[in-house]
Formats: sequence, structure tokens, C-alpha cells
Amino acid sequence: MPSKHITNFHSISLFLLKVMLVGLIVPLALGLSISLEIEKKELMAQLDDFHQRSLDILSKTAEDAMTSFSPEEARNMVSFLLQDERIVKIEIYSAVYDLYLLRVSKQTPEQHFPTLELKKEVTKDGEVLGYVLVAVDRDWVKPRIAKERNQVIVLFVTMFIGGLLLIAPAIYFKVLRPLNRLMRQVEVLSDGELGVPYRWQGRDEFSMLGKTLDDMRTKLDKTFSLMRDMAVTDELTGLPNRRGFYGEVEKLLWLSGRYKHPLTLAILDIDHFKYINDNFGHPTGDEVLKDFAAVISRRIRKSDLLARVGGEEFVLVMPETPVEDSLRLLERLRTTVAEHSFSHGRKVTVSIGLTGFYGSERLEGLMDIADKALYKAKQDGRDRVILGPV
Amino acid sequence: MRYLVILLVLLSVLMLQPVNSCAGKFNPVLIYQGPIEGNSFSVSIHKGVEKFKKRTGADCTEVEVGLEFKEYLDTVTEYADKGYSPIFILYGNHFPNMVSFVHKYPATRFIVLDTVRDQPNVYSFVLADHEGSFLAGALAAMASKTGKIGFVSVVETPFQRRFECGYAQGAKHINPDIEIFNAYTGNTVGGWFDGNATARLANKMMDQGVDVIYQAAGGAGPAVLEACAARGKLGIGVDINQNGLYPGSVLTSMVKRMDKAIFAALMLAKRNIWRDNYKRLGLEQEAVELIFDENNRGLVTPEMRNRIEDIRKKIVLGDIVVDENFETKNCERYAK
Repeated sequence: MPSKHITNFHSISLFLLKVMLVGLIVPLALGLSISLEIEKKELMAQLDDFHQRSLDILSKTAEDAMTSFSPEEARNMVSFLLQDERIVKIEIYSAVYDLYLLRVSKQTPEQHFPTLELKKEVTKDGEVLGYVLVAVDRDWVKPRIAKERNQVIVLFVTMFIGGLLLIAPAIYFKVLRPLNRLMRQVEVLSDGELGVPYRWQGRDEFSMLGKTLDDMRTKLDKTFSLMRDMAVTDELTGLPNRRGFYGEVEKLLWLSGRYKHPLTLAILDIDHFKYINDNFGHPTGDEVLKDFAAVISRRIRKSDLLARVGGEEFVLVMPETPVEDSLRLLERLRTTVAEHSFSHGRKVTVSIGLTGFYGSERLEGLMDIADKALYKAKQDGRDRVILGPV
Repeated sequence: MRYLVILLVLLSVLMLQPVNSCAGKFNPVLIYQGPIEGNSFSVSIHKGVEKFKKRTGADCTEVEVGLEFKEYLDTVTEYADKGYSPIFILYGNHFPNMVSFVHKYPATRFIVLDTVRDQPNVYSFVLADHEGSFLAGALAAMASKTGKIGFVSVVETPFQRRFECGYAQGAKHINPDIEIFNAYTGNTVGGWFDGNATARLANKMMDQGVDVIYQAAGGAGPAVLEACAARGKLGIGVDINQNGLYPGSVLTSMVKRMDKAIFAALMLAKRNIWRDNYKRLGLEQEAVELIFDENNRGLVTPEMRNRIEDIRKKIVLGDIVVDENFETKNCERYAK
């Protein structure tokens, strides 16, 4: 059984883990890849913007160099642009003089750049002076995108781990651990250990469930102990019944034998009880039994064991009591019963058989001896105490 | 409406202005020493003039004179006296006392090639021969098997040293241990057309183990290429594409796009723009370059070409700086 619980439990945590991973990874990856894409676009736009601006600046400044045919001026204009790693090629062509004022390229047969070229015609007063051409390295964005991507990956991992660090303990403390505790609580309950309480603090669902479960346990415990009591108690008199008697007498016998202390066992039987039942009704009989039990109970010690073992038959076990003392007590009890006024207004007597315990006899033997003494008391005319064996 | 009128007036002024200003003053003349066809340098210039004439429809005076300097000077003086302007001084480096000459004609503008004189009426167009020669030297060093390369020219002037020093620097850039031979035939009349003299120098070099020779010898240059071809060595052409003269024996040609410079100079003059006295055209304007065509395809491997292209880029971007101080005879430090 427990192994099944554990499997179930694990499948829940496994499921939660999966949900957590998917729930974290998917939106994070999505968000970050979108931001990377945006970054890429921005970089491209930045490059395009730079490209266009360079071309515009060049076309404006080149106008004069084109008109006056000045390679020197073109060179000066371009030199600062060429320092920019993005620019791979610049051409300034003068149509008027049919000559390149400047034609520079960083491309070599070994090092070929994928380029974007922009060309712009330069005109002045309606006359085409020539054109300027600027080519930029399209790969310029690549290392930057790679860098951006690395940052995004680092960010992703950090966010992911951060998320896990936040969510995992939350789930552990708020779900898995209470669930685990609940599991154990239920296992203990199912094992029948109703006496083990589980205290729950907090107001969350698991705590409420735990509390309810514990309430249930308390109620069950009460009910079960009540039922247990009922099983060993005579309902009418409140004394231990036959089962209750056997449950307790062995311990008394054992203790007595162990410490070599005296013990007396007596069987008490109400005389002519059938007559009472027949003539006054069962309710009266029950009343007599209750009265009788109360009378006896009041006059014995707490350590003595009185039980109703049959219809009108009672057993009284007196630990630490030699037979002589018991005889005196029983005689007194007998007299008390005889003098007691019962509810139906008639006298009731009791016959008693008793025997002493000397450390080695078995319960059945003792009972047998006491029973025989009781039988003798009945035979001798009832309302008397007889010491066995007879 | 008023704005439209103003705009129209402005436009018409702008449209008419260049025509007006040029109509009076633009009267250019170019004077060649020797026949145009015999000199690669002159051929290139003539090409530029033809292009200009075709494009603009404007007229240009071209004059061929003899090889004697006096005759040349007389012709220049004659055209200056006639009021021609601008006057092209095509061989600025062979024009002694140019400064005092131009002082005599303050109203005349002189366009001088390959020489810089800081005078208000002198406008210099200089092609960066040393940059192109640097590439030629680099390619020569790559192609040479003996580790010995040569340079042949006519008159040793700072101008000619531009070729020699650029060549030497380029060769050293590729192979620091390379041995560079140089020789000039000397300042003789007709020296620029004396192929025998240059061929003699070339043969002498080849006797010493030189297997690539760069010539910057004008009309006397093709003879060097011929000499190289005859002995199975490699020559390098100059000024115009000479690869086809001896296919398979001309490693490359260091082309000076003189036509481009002349076209631009004429155009500037026609547009009456005289702002800078000095214009320099180099690799980045593609005014000097090496020629790779079907005639030298077998001599230049793609790898060599890539290396040359790489060096060209570096010079243009300023990663390689070609020394251009040639006023003193300092090529020796490159040419061992």
C-alpha cells in the first residue's frame, strides 16, 4: 500500500515539475526570442540608418569636390568614413570629368563581405555631376546579434533558475510537503492508530483538510473507545461483563502469583432470580440486578474487581486479601444484601462460593472450585457463604 | 509669378555662364615632342584629347614638333605669344627654367603634367606613378625566379625616380632580399626614342641574371620588351597597355591613364574652374593600374593577382605607405 502512495505522490511532483518547466521555459523562451528578433531588427535599422546618413553626408559634401574636381578633398571627406568598420566600399564618381575621384574598397579576394550598396546621383543646377556609392558590411550585425543572443541566453538561464528558485520552494512548502504530511496522516489512520494526533497550522486548503482529518480521527477515536468500552462492560450494571472480566482477571492473578500475595475469588449468585423475573417482570429483575451491583460496588475496594459474568451471577476478585478476610467481607455483603430493601419491596438474598489463590492455580480451576462452593451454598439452603474447595 | 521670373533669370544666367566664360578664354594647345604614335605617353594623352573633343564638341589644338628641346620651347613660346590658354606642358620635368618662363605670361594658364611648380598660373596634374610602380615591383618580385629584377629608363630625374623607387619598394615588400638593377641611358637628343640604347642596357642586366625588367622609357621602352622576349625573360610595359606587344613575355603594363587626367584637365579649363594648383591622381582614382588581360594570363596566377589586389587595397586605404620623396637620389636605399 505505501509504495502505491509514494508512486502517486511522485507522479504529482513529477507532473508539477513538468508543468513548472514548461510554464517557465515556453514563455521565457518566447519572450526572449521576440526581444532578440526586435534587437536584430533594430541593429539592421541602425545599420541602414548609418548607411543612408553616410550616403547623404557624402553626397552633400562631395558636390564641391565633384565640381572642382578635387581628389584631395574627396579623400579628406572619406577618410573619416573609412575608419568606420561598417563601411567596406566608397565610390565617388565624377561624370563631368569621367573619373573616379575616389574608389576605395576594403574587400579583397580573400576577404569578401556580403554588402549592401546604396548609390546616389549628385546633381547641381540640373546637371548630373556624378554619383556617390557607399557599401556597408551586412555581416557587421552578426557579432552584435551573437553578443545579444548570448546576453539573452544568460538572461534566460538566470530568469529560469531564478523562477525555479522561487517557485520550487513555494511548491515544496505549500503543496508537496503538506501533501506528504497528509499522506502520512492518512497512512497512520488507515493503520488504525487513532491515538496519534496531527496538528495543523495555517488556513490553506491542505491545513483545513488536515484539520478535518484530525477532527475525524478524534471522533473515530472516541467512537472506537466507546465501542471498546461497550464490548467489555455490562450495559445494565456498568460493571465489566464476562469479556471484561477475563480481560482483567488474568493480570491480577499474574501480579498476585508474581509477588506471592494472597488473592481471593468469589462467585455471587442472586437467589431465586428467575422467580423475581417471572413474577415481577424483567424490568424489575433488571432493577434488582442494578441495585445489587450498586450495593456490592459501594462496599468493596477500588482494587477489587467485580464483574457480571452471567444473568444473575457475579464474580468478585479481591487482590491482596487472604481468604479469612474475604470471608468476613463476603459475610457482611451477604447480610447487607439480605437487609437491603429492593424496589419491588421483597427481600433478596445471595449465595456465595469462594476460593483462595495460592500462586499456581489456573483461572478455570479457581472458577470451578468457587462454582462448586456456590453450588454447595445453594444446596445448603441459599443465603450463605461457602469456602471452597468443598 | 515674380518668383518664377526670378528663377528663370537665375537659371538662364547659370546656363549661360560657363558658355560665356569659356567662349572668350578657352583656347587650349598641346605640343608633343616627336610623333604621337611612336610614344606610348603621347598616345595616351592624345586619347584624352580626342575624348574631350568628342564629348564637348570644343576645339583643341595639338602640335607635333621635333625632338630638339629648342624647337619645342620655340613652339610653346609661339603659342603663348598668340594668347593660347591653357597651354599644356606635357614634359614638365624636361623644361628647364619653367618658373621664369611662366612669369613672362602671367595671363596665360599652364597645365603641367608630372611636375609641381608653385606658381599662380601653373596647374599641375600628377599621376602617382610610384603607386603603380610599387605594384609592378611587387609583381616582378613574385614572378622573378633568379631573385634579380631590373629597371631601365632614359634620363634620371626626380620624375623618373618615382618609377624606379616605387618599383624598388614594391619588390622589397614582397621579397626583402631581392636584388634590383637600375640603369638610365642618359640625357641625349632623341634618347626617349633610342631603343638600341635601352635594349643594350636590358641585355646587360639579363647577362647578370636579371629575369624581369621594368621599363619607363617612353618611345625607347618597347625595345626593352623586345629584348626580354627574345631571351625568354619578362618585361613590364608602361604608360599604355603593352601586354600585347610580345604576348607571353610582357608580365604586365603599368598603365598611366594620362587620357583621364588630360580629359579632366581640359574639362576643368573649359568650365573655368581654377581652384587648386595641384591635382594628384593615383590608385584610388584608378589613374594608375596594372593591366591583366589575355596576353599575360599565363604569366600571372590568380594567387599573384589576388596578392596584387590586396596590396592595392592597402595602399588605397593607407595601410601601406609608398614613399614619395624623390627629390634626392635616394632610391638606393630600396635598390640595394
